[in-house]
Amino acid sequence: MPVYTHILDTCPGPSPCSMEMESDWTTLKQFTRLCAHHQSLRDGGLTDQELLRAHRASWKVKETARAAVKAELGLDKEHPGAAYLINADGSFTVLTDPVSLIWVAPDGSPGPLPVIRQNDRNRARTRALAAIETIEKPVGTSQVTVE
Amino acid sequence: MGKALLVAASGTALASGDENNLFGYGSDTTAEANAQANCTEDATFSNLRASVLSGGSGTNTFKFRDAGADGNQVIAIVGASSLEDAVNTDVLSAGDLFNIAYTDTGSNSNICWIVGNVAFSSGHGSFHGCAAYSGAVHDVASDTRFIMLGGVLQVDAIAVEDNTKWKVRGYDSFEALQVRVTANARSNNSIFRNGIDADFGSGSITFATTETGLKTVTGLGDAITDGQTVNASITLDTGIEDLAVAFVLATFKSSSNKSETFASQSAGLVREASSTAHYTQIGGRLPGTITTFTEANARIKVGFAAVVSNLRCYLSANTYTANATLKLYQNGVAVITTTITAFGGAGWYENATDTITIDDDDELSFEFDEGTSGSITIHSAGITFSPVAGTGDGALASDGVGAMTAAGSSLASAAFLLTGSGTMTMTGAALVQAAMISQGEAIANLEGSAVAPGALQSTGEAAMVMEGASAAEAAGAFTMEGTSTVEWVGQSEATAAIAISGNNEMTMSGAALVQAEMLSQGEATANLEGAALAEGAFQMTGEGIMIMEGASAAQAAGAFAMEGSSTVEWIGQSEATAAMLSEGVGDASFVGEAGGAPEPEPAPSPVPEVGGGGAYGRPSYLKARRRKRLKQEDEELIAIIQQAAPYLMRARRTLH
Repeated sequence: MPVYTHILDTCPGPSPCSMEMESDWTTLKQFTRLCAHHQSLRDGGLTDQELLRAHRASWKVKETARAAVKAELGLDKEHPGAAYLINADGSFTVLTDPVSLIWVAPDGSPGPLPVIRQNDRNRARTRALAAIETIEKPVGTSQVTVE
Repeated sequence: MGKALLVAASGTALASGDENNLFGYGSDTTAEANAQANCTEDATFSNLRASVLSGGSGTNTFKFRDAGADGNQVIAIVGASSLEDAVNTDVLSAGDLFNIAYTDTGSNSNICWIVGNVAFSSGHGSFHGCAAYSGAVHDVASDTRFIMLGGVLQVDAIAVEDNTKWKVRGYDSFEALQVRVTANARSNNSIFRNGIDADFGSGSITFATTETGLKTVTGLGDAITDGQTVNASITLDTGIEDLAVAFVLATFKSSSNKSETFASQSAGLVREASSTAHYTQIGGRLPGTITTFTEANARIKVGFAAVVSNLRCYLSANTYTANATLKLYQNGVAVITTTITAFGGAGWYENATDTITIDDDDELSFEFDEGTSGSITIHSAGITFSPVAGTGDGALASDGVGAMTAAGSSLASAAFLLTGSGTMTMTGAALVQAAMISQGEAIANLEGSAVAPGALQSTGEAAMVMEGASAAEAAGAFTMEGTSTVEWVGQSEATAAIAISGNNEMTMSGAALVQAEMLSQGEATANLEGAALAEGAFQMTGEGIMIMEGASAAQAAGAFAMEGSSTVEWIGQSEATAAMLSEGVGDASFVGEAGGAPEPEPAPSPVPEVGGGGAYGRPSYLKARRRKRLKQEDEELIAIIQQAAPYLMRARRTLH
């Protein structure tokens, strides 16, 4: 009998949340593990379904912000995306400094990178925050900051 | 249960803080989560090793990581060299995350490979996958692309499915598929599937809009038959938003204890015809150019004994004007050759005939050579590992919790040592010619027609089961100590001395034949439950118990001595043809039809004897009357039994 598991990459610490899903990959069967942060949200009264909604909203704000940063900074189409940090409180910090944006193409060659100035970073931050402003954020949704 | 080989090879220089893993491998990453894979089976990882080709001026450390923490395996290579951790292992449970962390104290390292062994706790299998741990972007709208389960995960995957297929010879089950997505700006679903012979398998993984992380589907059990191909695919919906994928990893199993390794490059590695031989490693990513490696630095130690077969490669183009070769090298010597036929075009080139046998420390590599003019485009080259039928040139040892299985017609001509809580199972016609020792809580099962002409020793709490459809035979000395147990199931024969001491229990439940001396000491128990025949001298001391219970006959043809407080029960038609001596408080009972010589004298008094004990522990006069009546009433029957006994013995010997 197939088992469908989603181990998250949006949790602080070495033991991220893990969910067993139905075969449609949208219906939650159960949380098989909760990270310390999301366990605290559970202890605060969130149900499994509310936790799942919080996870989905967190993915959306994070990925929306990263996509906005990539577009605004003019990163190469094959750039794997702006790096981000997961803070102990579950919030994300999307990085825009040139060092964090260095990348290597899958064939091993250095990936191209445009010149990135502070103004570019400011624009990227503004665009990213505007992009996530309209996203619904249920209780437990992680905050996003752009450096 | 046996070991399989995991190989990763990178095209990038490793910098301190990089994270990677033991499969495929394009680019690495500094984010550990991106390199963490799901160990879909309970498994033991061992023999972590790596080879630094150049750079790495300081100390280059590779650590096995288990769920984001340091594991036990670690190697610290100084300069451009190779090293193995042959001591430590990491035991993972299904669902645990694993990866390899790299740090250095000098310049960055260009590596030949990172290698490890994995042994599943249940069944035999391995992981095969492709990777670009920093993430390969996929954004081709409304299309299905294909992914090879080895080497580098290509940007946008591969349009030509044939270039991503691996022809399977060893596995027969596609067990699990996992995909890690590190960035997802897609506005709709992205679907990954496993593929078998150009068709979708039952595994399907969907990443909805903006979902990231590691998704795994286990328990697929999709059947693979010999010669079918495997791969994976990605189907994107409308839109050209980015989906960054770090790796796609599959779990395969083999019911015949086989495994495979192959080096690959789904985008293709071109080799122009040349009289200069070129070398590649046997797993992971094929090098960026065909001239990257010498034979010496392409070599990889496999880490287990095996029969190697089916040297094969897939070429998407072959315009060579003369035959060329793909050769398997064993310790620097070519041992198997696959001919790459001139003008052969796209297709599989395979030597399905030749095999070699390797030891666990043999090193293998591939060589491509010749061709005169034209070129080939290589996508994969690999081999199949099979268990060694009749293993046993060297000492075999199973220690710790590892299990050892010899599933074929097994021959162990060297010493066997089982320690810890390991289990050894020999399911074929098992022959153990040398000493076999089972210590601690180890379990040894010899389940086929088992023959052990060498000494067998079971100590501690070890258990040994010899279960033969036709015969279980121990021709060598047999010793049991501590609290170990031995069961002989089937027609059992021990032609050498048997000694049982301590709290041991030995049961021979078939037609048992003990031809040599049998000694039961201390509190040991010996049960001969079938048609039991003991031809050698029997001696029981201490508080030992011996029960001879035969459906047809229990017979002791040798001298029989009992001392201390030992007990003997003869159940069934019992016969002792040699002298019997009972001293101390020993008790000998004949429950069935009993006969024998010499015959004891009737007791002069109905008072039971104490201390010195007669030949029978029960009141002697009752025994005497009963025996007299039996002699009168059943004399004819006893005579028949006595006449039949030699034929029974002869029949048993014939069976063995």
